[in-house]
Amino acid sequence: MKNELLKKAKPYLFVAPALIIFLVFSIYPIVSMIQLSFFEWDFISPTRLFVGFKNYIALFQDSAFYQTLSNTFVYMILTVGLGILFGVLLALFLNKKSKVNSFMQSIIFSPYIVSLASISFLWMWLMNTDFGLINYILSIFKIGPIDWLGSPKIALFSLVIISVWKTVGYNTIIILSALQSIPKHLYEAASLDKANRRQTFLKITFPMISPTLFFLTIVNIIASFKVFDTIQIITQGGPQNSTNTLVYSLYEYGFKFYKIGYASTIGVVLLVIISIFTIIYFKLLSKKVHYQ
Amino acid sequence: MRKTKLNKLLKVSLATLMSVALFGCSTNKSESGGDSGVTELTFWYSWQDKVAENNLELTQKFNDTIGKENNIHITAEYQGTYDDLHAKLQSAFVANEQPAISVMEIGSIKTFASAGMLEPLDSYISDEKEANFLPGLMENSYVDSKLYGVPYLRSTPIFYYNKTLFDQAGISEAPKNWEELANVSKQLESLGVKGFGFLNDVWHFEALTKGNGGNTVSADETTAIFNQKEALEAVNFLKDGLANSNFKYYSGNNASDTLSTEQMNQKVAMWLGSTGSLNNTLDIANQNGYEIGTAFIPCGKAYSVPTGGCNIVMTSKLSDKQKEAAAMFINFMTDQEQVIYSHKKTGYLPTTTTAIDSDEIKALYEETPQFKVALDQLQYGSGRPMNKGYVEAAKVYTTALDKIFTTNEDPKAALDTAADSATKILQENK
Repeated sequence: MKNELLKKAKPYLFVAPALIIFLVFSIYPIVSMIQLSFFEWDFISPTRLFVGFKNYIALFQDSAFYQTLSNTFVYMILTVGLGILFGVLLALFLNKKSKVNSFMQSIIFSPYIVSLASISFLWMWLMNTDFGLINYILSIFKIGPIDWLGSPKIALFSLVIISVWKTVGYNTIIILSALQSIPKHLYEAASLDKANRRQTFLKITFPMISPTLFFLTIVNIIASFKVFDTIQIITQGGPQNSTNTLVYSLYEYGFKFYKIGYASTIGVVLLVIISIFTIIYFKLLSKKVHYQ
Repeated sequence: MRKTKLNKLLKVSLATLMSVALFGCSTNKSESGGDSGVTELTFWYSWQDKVAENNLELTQKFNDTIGKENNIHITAEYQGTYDDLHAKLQSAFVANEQPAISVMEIGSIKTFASAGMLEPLDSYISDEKEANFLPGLMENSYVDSKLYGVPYLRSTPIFYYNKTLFDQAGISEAPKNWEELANVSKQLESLGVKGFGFLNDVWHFEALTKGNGGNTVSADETTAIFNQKEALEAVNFLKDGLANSNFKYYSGNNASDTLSTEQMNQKVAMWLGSTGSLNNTLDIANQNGYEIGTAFIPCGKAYSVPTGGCNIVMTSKLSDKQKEAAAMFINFMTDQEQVIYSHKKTGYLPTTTTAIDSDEIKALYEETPQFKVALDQLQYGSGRPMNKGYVEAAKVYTTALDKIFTTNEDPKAALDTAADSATKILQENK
C-alpha cells in the first residue's frame, strides 16, 4: 500500500523541482499581473484601489498605446523577416566546408555572444549623427548626415538594424546545420532528373529546412516582442515615442510613472498577443511544415 | 527523431514566452548587523564622475571617524540617474530590500513620502541646523509640514559659455536676456561654431519659462500651463533661434553626450547645465585649453529659475538603532565641513548660511568666480513641482517640444494638445 503510494508519487517528485520553479517564476507572476491590471496602484502605497476594467478602457482609448503597438509590430516584422532572410542567404553562401567558411561563421556568430548592453553603446557611437563612424563613411560618398537615433522616422529602423546584426549569426548557424543535414541522395536524385538550381532549392532545400525556419521564426518573434535592453540604453522610447514598444512602455508606466496597474494591463495585452501568435503557429503552420 | 528534438526546442521557447511576464529586479542587500555589533547601512547615490567621488569620499570619511566611534559602517552604492534610482528604490521597497539612506531628486520626495516610504526627520535634525539651510532650498523638503529631506547636492541650472570663443568673436559680456542671447549666438556664426545649444530637458524648459514669467504647471499643480503665452514665447524664441540665430537643438536620448563632446571640441559656445557639473566642466576645459565662463540664465522678462538636485532622505521600516545611525550619517553629510567639500568638489550649491560666510568659500570665489554664479542666482530660485504625475506629464511636454523643434509642427497646437493630456495626468494624481 505504502509502496504503491510512493510509486504513484515518484514521477511527481521527480518533476517537482522544475514544476516549483515554473510555478513560482512563471505562473505566479502571470496570475499576479492579471490581478494587478484591475487595480490602481503606485506599487509602493500600502493601499490599492480596485477599479475594474478602468485600466483596459483607458488603455484602448490612449492613442499612444496604438503607436506603441504599431512600433512593436513593425519592429517584429522587420527584425524577424530580415533576420531570417539574411540568415538563409548567408547560410547558403557558407554551405561549403572550407577553412575560410568556418572562420566566417565564427565572425558572423560573434555579435550573438556579446552582451546587449555593450552592443548598444557600440552602436550608439557608430550611429552618432555628428561624429559617428557610419555618418563619417557616408560623408565620403557625400551622403548624409543621417540622424540615425534622433529622427522619429529613422530611429526604429536603426534599432532593427542593430537587432538583425546581432541575431543573424545565430540564425545562420542554425540554418547551416539544417542545410548540412539534408541527405545527399536527394540532390543526387534531383540532378539525375535534370532539375535546375531554382527547382532544387524550392523542392528540396526549402522544404527540408522549413522546420528549422519555423522554429527560428517563433524564437525570433518572441525575442523581438521582448526587446528592451537596446531601447532602454539607446533611445528610451524616443524620439517622440517612435521607438516605444509594449515592453518598454510597460516598464515606463510601472517604474517611472508609478502606475503598476496600467503597466500590468499592457502586460496582459502582450501576453494575449504572444499567445495568439503561438496558437496560430501551432495550428496552421505546423501542418504545412515538412518533417522528415 | 527530428520531431522530438524540435518539440523539445519548442518547449524551451514556450518557457521563454512565459517568462515575458517575469519582470523583476533583484537586489541583495542586508541591513542586519553582524556579530560584532556593527550597524551596517546602505546609502544609494546617483551620477558618476566627481559626484560619485564626492559621495564615496565623504562616506569613507564618515566610516573612518564618527562611524568608527559609534560602530556604524555605511556602504555607498551607485544607482544610475535619478530616474534609475527612483525606479530601483520602488522595486526595492516591494521586496523589502531598500537602503537605509538615499539621495532623492527633490521633485519626487512627496511621491515617496506620501507612500510611507520615508522617515520624517524633524526629531533628528536640530532646529538650529534646519534654520541654517538657505531658504530657497527648503521648498521641496516638506510634505504635510513634516521634514522629509535635507538639502544635499543641490543645484540650479546655470548658463555656461566658452570664454575663449567669446574672445575670438570679440564678445566681452555674457548675454543677460533673450535678445542678447540671440545676437551673441548669431555673432559666433562667423567662427564656424554653433552659438546656443540646447537639450530636450524639462528642467531647462522650466528655467526658460520661469525667466519669462510663466511656469510649466499651475501653483496648485493640477493644471498644465506650458501652453500659455509666457511658455509659448519661450518655445517660439528657441524655434526662431534655430532658424535665424545659429542655435542648435540636440535631440535623441544620447543628446547630452553629444552636447558634451561638442563643448569639448569647441563646436558650440553656449549651453545650459546644472551647477553640479561645474567642476567637471572646468576640468575638461582646462585639459583642452579653453576657458569656461558662467552666468545667470538669460531671461525673457526677469530672472527666475527652478532649483534642482537631490536631498538626502531616510527610509522608513528601520529599527530605532538603525534610525539613529542613519541620522548620524545624514547629519554628517550635511554639516558645514562636508557642505564646503561637496561644493568645491562638484560645483553643487553650498547649502547653508554659515558655509557661504566661511573664509574657505570666500577664498574659493576669489580664485574661481564661476562657482559663485549659482549661489547668486539662487535668490531667484524656487522649488520644483511635486505632483506624482509630473514625471509623466513632463514626458508629454518634452515629447511635444521635440516634435516642435524637429518638424514644422505648429507650437501652439502641439502644446495645446500636450497640455490637455498633461492636465488629465496631473488631475489623476492630485
